[in-house]
Amino acid sequence: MRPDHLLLWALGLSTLLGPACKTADDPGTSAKARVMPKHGQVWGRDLATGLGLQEWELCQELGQLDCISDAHLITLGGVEPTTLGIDQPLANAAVSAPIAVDRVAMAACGERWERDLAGPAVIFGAVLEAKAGADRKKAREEVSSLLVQRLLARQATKDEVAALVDLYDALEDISEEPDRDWAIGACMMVATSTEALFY
Amino acid sequence: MPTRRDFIRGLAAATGATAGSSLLLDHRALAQSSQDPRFLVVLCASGGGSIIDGPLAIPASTSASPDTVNTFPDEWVRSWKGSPFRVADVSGSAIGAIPASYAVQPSTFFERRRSELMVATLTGTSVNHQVAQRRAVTGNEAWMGRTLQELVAWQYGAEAPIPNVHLLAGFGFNEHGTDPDVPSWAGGQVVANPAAWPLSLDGRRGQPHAVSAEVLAAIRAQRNEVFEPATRFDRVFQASPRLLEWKDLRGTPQQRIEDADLITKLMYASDSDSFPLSAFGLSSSPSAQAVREVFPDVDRDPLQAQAAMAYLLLKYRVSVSVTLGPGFDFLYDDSGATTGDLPLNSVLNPPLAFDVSHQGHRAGQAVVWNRLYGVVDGLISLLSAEDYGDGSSLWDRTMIYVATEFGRQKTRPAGAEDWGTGHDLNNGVMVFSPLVPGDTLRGGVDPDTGLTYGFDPSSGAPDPGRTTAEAEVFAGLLGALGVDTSGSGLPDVPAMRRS
Repeated sequence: MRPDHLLLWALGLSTLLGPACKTADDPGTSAKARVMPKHGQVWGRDLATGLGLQEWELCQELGQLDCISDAHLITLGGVEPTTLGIDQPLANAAVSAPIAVDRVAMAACGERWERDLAGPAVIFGAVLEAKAGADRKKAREEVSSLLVQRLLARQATKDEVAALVDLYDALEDISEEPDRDWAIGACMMVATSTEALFY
Repeated sequence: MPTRRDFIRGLAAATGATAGSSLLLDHRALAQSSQDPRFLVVLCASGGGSIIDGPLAIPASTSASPDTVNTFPDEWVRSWKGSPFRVADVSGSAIGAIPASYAVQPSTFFERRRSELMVATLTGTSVNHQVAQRRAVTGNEAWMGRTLQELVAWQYGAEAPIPNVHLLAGFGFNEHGTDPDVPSWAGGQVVANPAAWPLSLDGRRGQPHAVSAEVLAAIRAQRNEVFEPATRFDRVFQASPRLLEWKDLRGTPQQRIEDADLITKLMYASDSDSFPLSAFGLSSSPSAQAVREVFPDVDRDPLQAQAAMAYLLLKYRVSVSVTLGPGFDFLYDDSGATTGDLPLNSVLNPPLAFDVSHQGHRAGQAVVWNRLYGVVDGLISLLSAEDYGDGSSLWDRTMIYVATEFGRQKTRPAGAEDWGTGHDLNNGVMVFSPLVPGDTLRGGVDPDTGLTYGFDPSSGAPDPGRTTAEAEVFAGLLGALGVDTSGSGLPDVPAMRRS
């Protein structure tokens, strides 16, 4: 066997049997861990697509200012070279960016809930239609899976669904409208997760 | 997640051997400093504000070359007995190529405020705008590339929600320093739209589909502690500095901001059809009326909006360093009647701010300086009226540093009433503060050439054989602000601080 073939064989074996031994449950940790933030307009587009809204329907501050393209443009990593002279996104996340992100997501998820309530439902239909206890939990699981599918463009894992469904337990004693608040909250959790905000 | 305190402890451990006993590396001292802060306002005179068109105006009769040096007719110049300052009240019919008449009377401003002004002469090292702007806040990288704003935020802002705010963006004055050891929380935060920005300081209030604060807290906790750690993305990239930074911001910084009710306190905008706060359950700041009385054009003039926000940031102890200044955009007041040429003083900001001097030096300098004097005057009024709580005012602890990149050419075509100038390294800076010796000039100006000369850093005595370096001004400002410069190698400049 030529030496380079031997090397390839050894490499292949080490990949199969190596110490990383990554599995579906344990994907390992990236050594470089290089991620980039989505600019607000990219995130907003993903959010709008996932929630079945137009981009300008996501969030309007005071009913006047578009949150993403105007009110929080720079905070969310946008640029505005013409009048502000900002032709590069901020090098580091703005200190208020996580708050602004929560704010936009709350507005967008709340808007989706109101529209689903008026019908026809796009995301929260199962929760709106479920009556009994067991059905309602199942409905929340269904909506949780749908949220991950629509906002993160992949299938949800069991743990993720459980994390979203369990939010209901945390809200039951503190919310006057637990179904509504759970729907908005679960939607926010997915929409403002690091996976939704970075790539 | 490491806190600010953890960071400082770690840094102290890592660099203690070389840094001596710097207060910046002692978390207890920083906590103490934050209870006894000084405040820095960097007012950027963008474009090249010439000191001899400001408080060091040269009367023609004092110059050997009055026609070819930038001097003013004696009757325009106002001076005060015992004061080193002389300013010219100027008027004209055009600002460069813009047919806009103007008339400014800076003497009224200096009548009131010269007792709080120190001018330090300076000779810079770059006539490139961006480079010189940066050097104006780093002293030409005098201390490991740290900026004045970062250092003040570091020493005094450990407990402040957003210690270092930049209300102006895209200039060298706003660049981050280059020292990676400066804690991230002391870095500048850009606020691009002061009117709308308070809306980004609360996760739910003012939203039509809002959930309660308690519910939002539960949602955030479930996301941060359960959902997100369950995602493959988060596990794979958990070591990413960007993700760590993001998660850190969701912690104490977020809590500090929301707990402080900044969505209300910083809202200088008034409730109106175009900004319907009350319809969304919000209200103006308790200080909004006072701010709008001093800065009545906040809705039209971006500089006044910045000044209003600067005051609120200091008043509510949100920040200890605030940077603001005019942009390069043309700003025009269209409320006056037009008969032929543009109405008197209708140009609020000429294009390129001070750099309009390339086309119209005298007019451009007069109009933009006057604009900045208005901001200084307003800020001093507001800060002086604010009780700090120990018998002193907020102003007693504040410095307004008027930073600029360079001066302008000192000469003119013989007898010209207005002319264009290029950039000149030779200049000086204005510092308004009770922390510096008032009504004081450090250095001087040669009336025959228009060039400034330096001073002895210890005694402050003018020295025609010396020029002042950027690092000396930088060190002098830090000294006046009480920033601990141990181990920095910076010169001591006691002449720039009030004894």
